[in-house]
Amino acid sequence: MSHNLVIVPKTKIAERLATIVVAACVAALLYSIFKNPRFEWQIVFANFTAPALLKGLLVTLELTFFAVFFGFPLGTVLAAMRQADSRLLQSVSWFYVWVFRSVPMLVQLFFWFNIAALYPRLALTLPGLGELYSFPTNHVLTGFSAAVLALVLHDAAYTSEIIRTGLRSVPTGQRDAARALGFTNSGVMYNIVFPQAFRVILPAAGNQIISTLKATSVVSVIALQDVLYSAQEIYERTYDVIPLLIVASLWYLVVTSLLSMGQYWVEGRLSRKDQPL
Amino acid sequence: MKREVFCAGILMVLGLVLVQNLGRKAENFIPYQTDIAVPVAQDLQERVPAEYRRSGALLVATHPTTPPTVFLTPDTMQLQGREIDIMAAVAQLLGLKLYWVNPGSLGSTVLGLASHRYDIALANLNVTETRLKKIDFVSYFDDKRLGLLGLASTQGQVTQWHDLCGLTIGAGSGTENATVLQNHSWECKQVGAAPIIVMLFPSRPAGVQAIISGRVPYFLGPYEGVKAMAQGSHGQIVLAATLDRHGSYVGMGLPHPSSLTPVITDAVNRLIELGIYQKILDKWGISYGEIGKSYSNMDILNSVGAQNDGRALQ
Repeated sequence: MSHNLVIVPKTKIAERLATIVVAACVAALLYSIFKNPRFEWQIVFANFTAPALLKGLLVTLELTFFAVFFGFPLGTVLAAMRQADSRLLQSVSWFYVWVFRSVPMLVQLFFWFNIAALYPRLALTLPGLGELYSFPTNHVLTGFSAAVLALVLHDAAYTSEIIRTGLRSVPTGQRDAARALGFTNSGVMYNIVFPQAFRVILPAAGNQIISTLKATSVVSVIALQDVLYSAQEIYERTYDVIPLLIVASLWYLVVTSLLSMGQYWVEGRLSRKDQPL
Repeated sequence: MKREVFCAGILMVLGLVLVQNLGRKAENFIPYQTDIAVPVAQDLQERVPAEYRRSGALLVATHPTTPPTVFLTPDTMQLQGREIDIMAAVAQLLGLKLYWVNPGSLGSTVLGLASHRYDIALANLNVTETRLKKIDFVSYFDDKRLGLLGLASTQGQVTQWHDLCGLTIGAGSGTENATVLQNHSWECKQVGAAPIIVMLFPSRPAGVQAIISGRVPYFLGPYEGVKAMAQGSHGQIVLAATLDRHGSYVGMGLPHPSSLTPVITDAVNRLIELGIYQKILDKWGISYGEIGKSYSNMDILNSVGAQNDGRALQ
């Protein structure tokens, strides 16, 4: 038996043809996009790093960060409540998710921004001690904090569902088995459930962060200038509608790419544990 | 086999019905109401470009907000107002029918003009040099008066532009009023006063709600529009001040360039000559903004040497 036999892969003619056709289509598309003067690329480049837009980008990033930073812990608490034995905790969590997933983000933003119309002052009152402290609502809830509040509450509802699905993906048989082996309740969670649930949660959570990033674009309704609103504000004056929408989209592409890279990196790290030792 | 053919046939019929309905849905014309009746002007009608004479109609974009500019009647949901009457009178002079649509935002109005989806747009659009590079304009109103909305307690506290220095003022995003505020803010700084902080709202109702909840003390908007909002607010907000400016005109927007621009300009001038234009402004109580002559494109700005676009808003 000779060991010098070379393995020759079968020629995939259809695939090669398809590759050539798709390459030609992509080239034609790119050519037309960059050569079509109606895209007005010079306006796109001139505005790409305009100070107003960069300021808007910062607002978009800050809002996304805060929404995720506070939304995920709150979502985890809600998911834990949903898993609890207490009927009350379960119902409150269910009710919360029901309300905040149903009401459109735009309405929630408008509501929190204008909550002072309903409650002009916030006060801390304790029974027996009376009013300890009170202040105008608008001082605490600035436009930015109203937006953060709305985004966090909205995000928490979605996150709690993602986490709940993750936890449920681990079969109860595994928990029973672990408990039979003498693991404590927290030991079961930490050693058995979380490591497996994470792999289910992570892709959905990554998706959720990206959709939060885009959800921040509705903050324009309360006069907060995120990156999209800054672009709109410029084109409403100059009427350069398409170039400025391209600028805003390019920034969303950049940020989404960075977020996806982070997600894939973490996914890679987690899946390494799958490898046999 | 027969069954597959039958199913495919049913699917095709369903698809066709769907496509037809989608097409019909796109033509969402808003009915309008006007009491203006003008006979056709033969000389002007002959100058209407052939493509429009063939279709016999104009597709006009507008954005209903408040009376008296352009609004929907609450009972019948029909368009009414200054924009409707003036455009209806122009169309009658030219012997053309009108179809009105609401593109939903300024962005889609502008894009709709650029792509010739709409023939004309009337939505209280201010004429500026930058915008003239994108669309044609025909002037029909002198937008010289602005109104400041505030809570009832603020009435009389502002009498001139300088009183706004150091205050937070709301304005409509993309409006010339925002630019006016920026310019005055710059003047505040020139005389050593605190600048004006401008908060831009995507719509006037959002700005008004912000006054009621104490977010901003004032909102600056077109005089006639904010006056109507104050009247409709059951005393919650009032017209706190009236402020004047110079050299700002409202124009009909047309694609750039449009073969219609010259004949539309002449039609507006005919309405002025006939006294119909003045009658329309009187009807809506806005004769203060009467123009003596309608111009098109750069002539609008040259006619007053108005350069209100000089200092860009950043």
